[in-house]
Amino acid sequence: MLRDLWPDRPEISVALAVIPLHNLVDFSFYFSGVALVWAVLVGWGVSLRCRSSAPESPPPQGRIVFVVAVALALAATAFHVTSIVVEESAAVQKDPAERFDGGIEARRLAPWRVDPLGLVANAALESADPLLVSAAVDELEKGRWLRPRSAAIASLRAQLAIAAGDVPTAVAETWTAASEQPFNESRAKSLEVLLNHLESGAADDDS
Amino acid sequence: MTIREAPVLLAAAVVVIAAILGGAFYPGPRIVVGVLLACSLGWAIVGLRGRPMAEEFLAIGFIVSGVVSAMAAATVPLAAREAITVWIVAGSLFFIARRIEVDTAQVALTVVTFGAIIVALGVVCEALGLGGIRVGGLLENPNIAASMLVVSLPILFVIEGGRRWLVSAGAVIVLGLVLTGSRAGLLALLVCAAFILPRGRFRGVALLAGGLGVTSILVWRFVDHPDVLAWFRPAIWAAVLRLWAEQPLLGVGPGGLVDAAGVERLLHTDHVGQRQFLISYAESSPLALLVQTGVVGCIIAASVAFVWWRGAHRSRGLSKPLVAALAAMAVMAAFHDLLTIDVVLWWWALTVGLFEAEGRPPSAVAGFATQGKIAGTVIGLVIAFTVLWGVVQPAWARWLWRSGAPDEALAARSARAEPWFDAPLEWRVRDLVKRESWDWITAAEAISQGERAVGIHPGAARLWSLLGMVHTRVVTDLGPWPDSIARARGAFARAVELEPLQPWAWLEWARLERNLGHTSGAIDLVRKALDAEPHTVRARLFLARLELDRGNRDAAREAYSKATESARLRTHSGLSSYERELLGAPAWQFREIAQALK
Repeated sequence: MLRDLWPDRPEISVALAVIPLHNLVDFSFYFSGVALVWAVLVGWGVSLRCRSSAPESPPPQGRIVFVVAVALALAATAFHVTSIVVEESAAVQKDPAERFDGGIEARRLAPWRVDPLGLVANAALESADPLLVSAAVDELEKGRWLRPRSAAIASLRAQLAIAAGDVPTAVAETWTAASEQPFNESRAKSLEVLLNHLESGAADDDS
Repeated sequence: MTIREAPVLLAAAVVVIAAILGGAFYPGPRIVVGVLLACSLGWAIVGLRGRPMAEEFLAIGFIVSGVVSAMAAATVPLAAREAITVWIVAGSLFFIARRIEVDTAQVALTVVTFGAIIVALGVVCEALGLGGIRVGGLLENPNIAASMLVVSLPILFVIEGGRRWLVSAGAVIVLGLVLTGSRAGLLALLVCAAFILPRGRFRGVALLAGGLGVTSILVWRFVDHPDVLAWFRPAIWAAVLRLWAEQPLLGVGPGGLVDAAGVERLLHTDHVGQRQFLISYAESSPLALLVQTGVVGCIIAASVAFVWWRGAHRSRGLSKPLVAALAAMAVMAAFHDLLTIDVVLWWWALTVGLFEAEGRPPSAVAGFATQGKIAGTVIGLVIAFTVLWGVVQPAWARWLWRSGAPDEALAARSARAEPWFDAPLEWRVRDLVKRESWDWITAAEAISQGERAVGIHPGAARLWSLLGMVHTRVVTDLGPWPDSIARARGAFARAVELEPLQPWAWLEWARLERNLGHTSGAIDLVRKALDAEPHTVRARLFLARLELDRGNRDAAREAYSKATESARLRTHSGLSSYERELLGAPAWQFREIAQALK
């Protein structure tokens, strides 16, 4: 392919060759940012090579739709992978506020991902900062439509509600988590502990 | 006719079956009709040959605009999904029907005619049984029956058959149409006759006689069978236009009229319940289209009609029966909101498509292939899935929900079957609210289910009010948690924003404020409830209680006196359930206030 491309498009040939050459001494293909770009270049090269060898024919129907769909899929993949990288790098930060910001950034890059919500919520809980807790609640509510029946999100929401002092919401969310995963003992246990705590608190108030 | 066109015939038969089953509005028949439509439409689309035409691309654009409008409104996702699916089915029926061969179109039109005869016979039988007119027969609603019958008449001028059979079929359909007593249907019949009858003295005499007949029936309907709707139609149209003015571009969303119309309840000062009637339909299809999809949807829909009309004129011209059917549709649509009446839309789309196929020169439009292409297969599967998702799944959940006395397990099963279905959640929350005493586990479930209910149906004032009541109950039974107070106030505020002209949310909000010790605020809220419905006896009694709390005995006595005055209206005959609810109050409330006033 490189030989065919060289006479007309030497720059593409060089671009195609240089990355595998670099990988003889390093493993840059490991990074999606490199591998994806090279994959696009290979596709481009194949296309140019076919165009130079075969006579021009009318484009098949649906090609534009296909190309747009592939481009969108590639863009979504790039954002998704970048969001994972941002989330992973944020997760190792020591400061909860930095972890929180990283989680928010990961959500902005790929709003369809729910995993960063856990990072955001846990960082806010660890910081015990009311502003962060409030922001984490907002973020959780925004992303909840992605998994409306998630016990994990309900459980996180309950913990945030306890941190914010919103007891009725905390009880309701803990009940949601337990009812969505009825066979998960830890969820049932959490509900039981919370209810016992509230009942004993009420009994103390009465006495 | 070939096997390739079999799915189109099957789809036509399914539409006829849907009409015979009473419109397939009930969950059981709807599941059957939905599954059959999914299979037949999917199969037919897999075999479609050639590229879609300009008007078909525009129709797809209209569906997309409907989806955007529903997402922007975000008030009633399930109703929007069902409404858009109905439009997709109607469009698909038109796409496949217009592509069949002439002889297959003849068969399909004959099937439709038989369906119309059965619908007409249903009307005749019911009229004979009840001894009067203004009946709907199998379809229950006379206007829906009329919408289908009047459009079926021109088919008789197209299908092959003996003169005697055609005249008999026409007579049965016209008789059925007259017995529906539908004013728009009778006008549509006249318009249809004006287009279809040959020019000459016969047409003049027929139109004159028909005009006199229709006028006499119209006079009879207005004098002997007057209905509120007839006189309020201009007011409804004005209210719908006001609703549209609030969301001019994208409208209130497909299926969203009922939720949006709360702020536009029309005043009926001569009734005990002055705001009891909600505008459920726009009473005009073009207005319904405007208010539900906005200017964007209307422009695209008009473009579809224009491009189709121009294309049909250029290629072959429109046959007289087709023009007559279109004119009849226009008259019916002008006076009735048929945008969400699926069986009528499907019947009309199928009929227009079949008319076009029947009058089409051979090979003018690409037809069906024995083997589908990949794209066709994908589109066919998508359409089949959409019909199953938009028609069958909600019907399945409703069928489950109605399969027995409501209980916790049934509610959970129905909610699993259709996660956007709010009825089981609402029932469960109301069931919990009815309990005399609450503990934390009851509160937890009620809050969780109440929040989920408003999440899946954010446009329902009654669900917001119910959520407010749940949080109020937490405040009263488990303590004044700031979280619950804020959420109760938020929920009631949303409920009265959606339904400012109903007293119940105002009243429940007032109860919350009284529990929190805000008597003046509670009085203001009760006054708003009474502004909306002056005969709300419980609100009057509660106002008396609040005035007593404030030590204002004269005002309390006046409120009590008005409450007893309103309660006496219960003896009136012909009260609706809404009015009985307004006038109802437990006897202990009267006793308690009376004792306090002594």
